[in-house]
Amino acid sequence: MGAVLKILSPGVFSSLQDRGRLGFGAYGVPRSGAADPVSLRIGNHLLGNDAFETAIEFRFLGPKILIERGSVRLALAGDATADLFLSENDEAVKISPWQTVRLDEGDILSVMPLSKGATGYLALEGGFDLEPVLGSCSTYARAGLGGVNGKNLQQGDCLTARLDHPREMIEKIVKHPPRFGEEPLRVLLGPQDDYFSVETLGIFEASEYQISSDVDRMGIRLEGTALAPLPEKGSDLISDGLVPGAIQIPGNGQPIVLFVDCQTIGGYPKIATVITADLHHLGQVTPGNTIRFKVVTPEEARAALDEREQLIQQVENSVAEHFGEGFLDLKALYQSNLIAGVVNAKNSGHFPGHLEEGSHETD
Amino acid sequence: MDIRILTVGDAAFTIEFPGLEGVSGARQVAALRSRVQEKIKAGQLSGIVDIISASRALTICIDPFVGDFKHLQTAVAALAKQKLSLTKGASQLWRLPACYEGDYGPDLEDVAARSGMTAREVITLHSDREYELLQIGFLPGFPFLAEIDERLRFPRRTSPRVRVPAGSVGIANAQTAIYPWESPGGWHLLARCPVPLFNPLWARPSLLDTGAKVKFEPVSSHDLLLLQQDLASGKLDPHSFVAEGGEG
Repeated sequence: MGAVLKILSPGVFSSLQDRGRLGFGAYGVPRSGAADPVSLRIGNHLLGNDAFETAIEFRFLGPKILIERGSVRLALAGDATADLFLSENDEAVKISPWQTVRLDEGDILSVMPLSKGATGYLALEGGFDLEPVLGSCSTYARAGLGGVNGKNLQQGDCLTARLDHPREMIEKIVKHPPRFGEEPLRVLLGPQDDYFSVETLGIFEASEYQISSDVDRMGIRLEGTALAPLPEKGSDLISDGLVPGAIQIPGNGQPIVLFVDCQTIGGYPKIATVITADLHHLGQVTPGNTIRFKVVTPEEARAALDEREQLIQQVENSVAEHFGEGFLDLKALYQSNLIAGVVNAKNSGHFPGHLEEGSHETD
Repeated sequence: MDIRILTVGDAAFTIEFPGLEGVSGARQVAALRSRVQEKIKAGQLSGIVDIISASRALTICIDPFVGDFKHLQTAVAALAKQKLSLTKGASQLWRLPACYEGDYGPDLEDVAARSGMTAREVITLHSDREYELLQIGFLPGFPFLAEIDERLRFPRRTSPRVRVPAGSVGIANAQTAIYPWESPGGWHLLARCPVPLFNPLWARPSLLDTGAKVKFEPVSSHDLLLLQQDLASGKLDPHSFVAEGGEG
């Protein structure tokens, strides 16, 4: 039997997400999946999981979780800290963003609000024991698909891990986490850029848009200079296919960037579409901030994808062992020879066993 | 066939049949979708991860790490320009029960008043026709059915309902539809259909597919409850409501 994690408090719009549900668009099934697949991948990487293993996704505020049975290792991916309350001595340990943490039976992890961005993940070593629905464990609550009983996480939900206890290893941390939202979002024009004049397309690219409070997994409403379609075209078209990242312009001219849970077809003109390499930024936009768009070519979009992979690689390469606050940094001690002669560094038996095992981990 | 190719970012494109609309467009799209699926099965198109059918446009979603955008676009466009063998929409007729009584059809009286008819006449006009399924979208399994009688055509409600119960049968403009899930919605609600339209455990998760024909069979509220019970207990299979052409 795997370890059991109990949700004491779900946080905000917490759900289970993986790569998403592909292949059922013809039946109106949205793609769903991680709002920020890059953070999900890094969280899973910290644990040695498959890149898109299902994790708990939270928006703005993370959950509070009790380990009801067994032991687990979680990775906190996102700019949030957490408090770990140890069951044995009621001690609270501060958990840093982008680190792994081991929890034993009775321990409680309480995730704080994100200090930056909108989406964070709690990935689990070995993953959750879940039954995929239409090829994915991603939650799509509107139609009751995936997740726990098709719903976002609720207080009292119990999630079972595939493992009953994690591997012995030193905890890890990302030294150089990914950065979000500093560059304009790159887009390809279309599918309905012909609904807009050259001037309007210019305004679209030159304007700064305010992110409204209406931000969720279905779409991100923006506020700024209204974009009017050509009078002979209008704002209504015969519905066609939608994808996350498509920027639709409804009658009021205020753009809506469609996102991972967006419906599959729609009848508003879409001026442009965010390129794949930048989609994960949409998972981190927060109300009140601003964004801009930059039109690129298909070739630039393809190159950006390779660049993004390189950036992820760099982030993953920055993973280091983490001993946490208040813990003696044994490895640093070894390296500075401060304790040479006191113990034989090659004989791990004299020190916590996880040290040696962990130090052989390569990333 | 006249087509337009639309760019939908770097991981999707849409083939549109600009000269077609309604049933003829939907049939063309269904035919193209079949051709693309055949090619995928035959291993001749790789990197396609999803296909979205709209009433006159087919959107091909690709994995940009696997599929070559330009190559796929050219290949699918070539298929679209060929003369496609159109599937006969009449092969499958579904007779779906619908209860037009009381709270099950909250906008019936209003539609009757606006069209200058009695509620009885509206029910007859709505349930006499065979509709053809143009596209599925908005929600999983949500069927857009066309076309309703011209006298029943009104734009969507100016203030959409926050909560439309699952199974609600609505009309808007030239179309009618069934809400498979509770959701917000702006269609005028005429009736309630007890038949579930979507189940991820079915071989095809959507009960209906493009090209299917649907006719509503008025039932009493008493029969509606019986049908709901039998469908919930598994005594009645939703697939048994197909009248012609066997199960999809």
